[in-house]
Amino acid sequence: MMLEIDRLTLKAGEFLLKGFSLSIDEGECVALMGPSGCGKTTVMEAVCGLRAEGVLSGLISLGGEEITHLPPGARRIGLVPQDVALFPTLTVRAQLEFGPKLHCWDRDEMKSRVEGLASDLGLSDLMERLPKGLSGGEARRVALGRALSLRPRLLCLDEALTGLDEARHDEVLQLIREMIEREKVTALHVTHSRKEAEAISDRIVEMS
Amino acid sequence: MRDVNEAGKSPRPWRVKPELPFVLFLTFVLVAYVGMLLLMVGANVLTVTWVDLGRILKDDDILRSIKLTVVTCTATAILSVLVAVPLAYLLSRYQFRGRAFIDTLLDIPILLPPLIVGLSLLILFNRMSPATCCWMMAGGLLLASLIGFVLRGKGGGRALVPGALIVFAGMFGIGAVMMKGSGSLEEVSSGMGFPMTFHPLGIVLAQFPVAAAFAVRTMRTTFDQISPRYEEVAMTLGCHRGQAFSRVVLPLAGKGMVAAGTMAWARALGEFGPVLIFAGATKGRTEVLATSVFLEINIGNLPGAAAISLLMIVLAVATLLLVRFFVGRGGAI
Amino acid sequence: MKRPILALVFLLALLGGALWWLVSDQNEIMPGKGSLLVHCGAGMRKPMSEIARQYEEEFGVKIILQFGGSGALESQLEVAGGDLYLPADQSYLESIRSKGLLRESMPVTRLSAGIVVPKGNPKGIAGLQDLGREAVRVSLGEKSASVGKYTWKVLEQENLLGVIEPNVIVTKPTVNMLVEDVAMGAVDASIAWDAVARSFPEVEWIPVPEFSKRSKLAGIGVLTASKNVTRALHFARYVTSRDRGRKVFVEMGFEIPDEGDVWADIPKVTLFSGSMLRPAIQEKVREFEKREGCRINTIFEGCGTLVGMMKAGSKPAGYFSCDVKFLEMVDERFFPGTVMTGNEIVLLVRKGNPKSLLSLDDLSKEGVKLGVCDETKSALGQLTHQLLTRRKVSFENVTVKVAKGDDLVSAMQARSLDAALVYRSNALASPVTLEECEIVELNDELAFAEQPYAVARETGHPELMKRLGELLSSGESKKDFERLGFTWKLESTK
Repeated sequence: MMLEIDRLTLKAGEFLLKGFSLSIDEGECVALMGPSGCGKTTVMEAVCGLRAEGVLSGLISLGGEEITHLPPGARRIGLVPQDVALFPTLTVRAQLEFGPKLHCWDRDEMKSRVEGLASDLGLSDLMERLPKGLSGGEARRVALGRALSLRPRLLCLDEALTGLDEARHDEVLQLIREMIEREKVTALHVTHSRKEAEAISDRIVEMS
Repeated sequence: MRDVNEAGKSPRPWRVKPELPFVLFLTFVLVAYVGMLLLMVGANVLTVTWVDLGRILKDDDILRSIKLTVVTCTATAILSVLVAVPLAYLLSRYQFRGRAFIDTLLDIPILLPPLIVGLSLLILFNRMSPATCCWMMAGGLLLASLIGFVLRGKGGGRALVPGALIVFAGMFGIGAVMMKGSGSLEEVSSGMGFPMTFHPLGIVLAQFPVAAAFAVRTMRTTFDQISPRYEEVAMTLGCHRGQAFSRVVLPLAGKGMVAAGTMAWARALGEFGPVLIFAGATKGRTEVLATSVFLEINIGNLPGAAAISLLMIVLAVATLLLVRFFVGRGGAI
Repeated sequence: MKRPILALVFLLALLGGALWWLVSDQNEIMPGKGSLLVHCGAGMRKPMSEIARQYEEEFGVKIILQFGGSGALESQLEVAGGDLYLPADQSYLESIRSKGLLRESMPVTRLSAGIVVPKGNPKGIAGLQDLGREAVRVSLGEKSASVGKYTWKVLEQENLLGVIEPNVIVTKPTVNMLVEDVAMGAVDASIAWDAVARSFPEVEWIPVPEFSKRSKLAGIGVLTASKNVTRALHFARYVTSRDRGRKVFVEMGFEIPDEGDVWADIPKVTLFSGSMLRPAIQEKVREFEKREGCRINTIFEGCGTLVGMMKAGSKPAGYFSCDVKFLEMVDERFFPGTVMTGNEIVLLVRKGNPKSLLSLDDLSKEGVKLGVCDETKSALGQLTHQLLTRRKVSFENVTVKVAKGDDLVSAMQARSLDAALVYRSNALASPVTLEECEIVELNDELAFAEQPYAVARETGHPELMKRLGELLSSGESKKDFERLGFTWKLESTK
């Protein structure tokens, strides 16, 4: 299996989550559902490595490798956060190039990857735009591209559809499903909407 | 169930008490306060004649004072920003025990009477030797690391930071032994070609503590207002903290840095107490505009002092306008 | 990514530039190159040649040394001009000073005259009488040499001329020649400077009481004819400095009259001065700076504040105090001070004296807003406090206590007081004051302060500070002080 969470105990401020376990197979897309405040976003952040000081006990492994205490950058996980969080001063192209540039990819390889992603996501006309010139849907697509740019082992989506109007929902859901399949990436999706969960994921896990 | 018609049948139309008295009250406070400020500036302006202005602008000492003011304030402002940016980021992003304490510590220069800042510098440089300073630093760091170990804080680097402090303490200890018997700090620094007390270079040192404190405050607000989410995403893409800082956060903090720098500049401009005590107010040598006013008053030349004050008011207002123009209200001043 | 780096580099460059400017900030006082002509007494040839060589190496300025008998040189320089004159005795400097040819002089070395004989003293000469013995060949300096003039004078005074003169077979114009002759054996004895004799291993020097009781002080003087006064003074300071010139003199066996100043290309010293002295001495200090090529950081403050700063660690090179009492508080740091001036305390009132305040008693009247200085911060404050206490004036009317007299003058100008007790010099510092206020004399013996000038013991530039003191006590300076209301207290003025 790809992602294995074993009896994870987390503390974030006042909140305490005890003994949470979850496994995801390679290529699977799992939705993590539950009422607000149950800790699903916290679990996702822990998986991404952004809650290191809150992990009290338990194990997280990815692709057989234990990553519980690894820094976020070494885990090869892509994150699309709830608030999209595109870097405000960078163009769409720069957002997509951010990861590859950091890891000193070969120029041609980077170019082809970025352009490939752009065409898959329908961003080819928007490459030189800044985030403030993008619509909600466009921004989400860029965030998705950015998260996938380094060919991560795991893609984390946090409430993929927040803030989008109804008309867009299906379009974006369809796109996400397509990208997950095309990139053959394992995905963890946190959501409170059953409709979203059923559209994208193979399996739903309920949290209490 | 309320009888709807009853409400609708009310004989008089609904009356809201007039807003006018409240508006008048607000206007009154505005007029009174702004009026006082304008009167103060106005009194200054009216005391100054064109002749006075001409006289001080032709005075060699004043011209040199202006030059020295600009140079020192710029140096202080740059130094302040260089220090404030990393410091504010540390305070904004990292949780560690004693953070509140450090926070308070950083505000001390603002709270201290300016003369105390100057006096402390004077005593530090003329009575303390480098060896003593190293011992003090080593002692303080050891204490801090001890506290850090005992009250183990949260966050990455739990043992890292106290460990680093001990290493620093060790370095200072070695420094103390090496520098034994080398005279006071002032003697050492003058010997190396950097005289401080009563010297133009000392002006920058005197302006720095307070200017930097303001710069730190401004940058802190700036960083607090930048969502940590950007750095988190950057880290998932492979950045370590430092890269996330330089590639993602810094570009966003640009305007904040300009504001901090301008704040420090304006503060350094007005810094009188420490400059007077530590750098002296020697005419033509360590005279900056703030002390020029003092010197003119000292010889009973009120019109001259007022003229220089006017000059400084113009400078200060121009600086403020410049910041507003470039940064807008979001400059977090 | 590129832009932040560029901005950072730019800022660092700007910072570096600003700091560099501040450190190297020298006001245009470095005199030009060129050369200096020094008329130098022959007896000091050896040390001066070495010093000149060192100076040339350090500064690239050529020093042309003209050696000769001090008297001969004097005649020469009257005609030919020059930059500096180093005779073997002060009297020559006084002589040219009275002719208006001397600007400034500094002591260089002490010379003692005595009998020079070949090593081993073959003729067994013990005293001046022996010079008159049979078959003793004597040479003496000519009157155009300092040693010569001196010798002849002393011999005459001691009535020995008759005894010795017959044996004088030759007179020589410089002291070097005298000693050389003894070394060569051409004469049996001569009278010359000890230091010169010391540089000839073939001779020995015998002190005799008639000469020992009057040693001579050689000094270097800057001539008015000099076209490069600052450079000349620079060199003169070099010659008399502790670790340059004086060191060479000592190495060569010459006696030095005092420690001398530590050498500094541009000496930088700090002078603490009571703030009431500012209008009187500010310009003079500037003048001194320009002339000497030095930097004097003058800190003008209330004496209480200055004493406080000294106790906090400041080490000024000199202290011109508002009153002797304040100098006493720190007197262990200074050589005994010289009282230069006195300042009377007067009552400053509004023009027209609307409240009719004519004496100290009037200050106890109702509704009088009186300003005084704080007794812990300044001499004026202390004296005022004493004055009011002894004369039984009520303290009730004291509305404000400030740090120094100038602040009271400002307050009077701003019309916030009816009366203030200030120094006369505070009142006369700015002409503006007398437009608004008038002075009421107190004529009280307690209303008086005396200002002493003192040089710090530990400074590296005691001679410089002494010269500053001399300038401040000069006749010109006296005029400045008196014009500002000070009383001159120095008995003799130059």
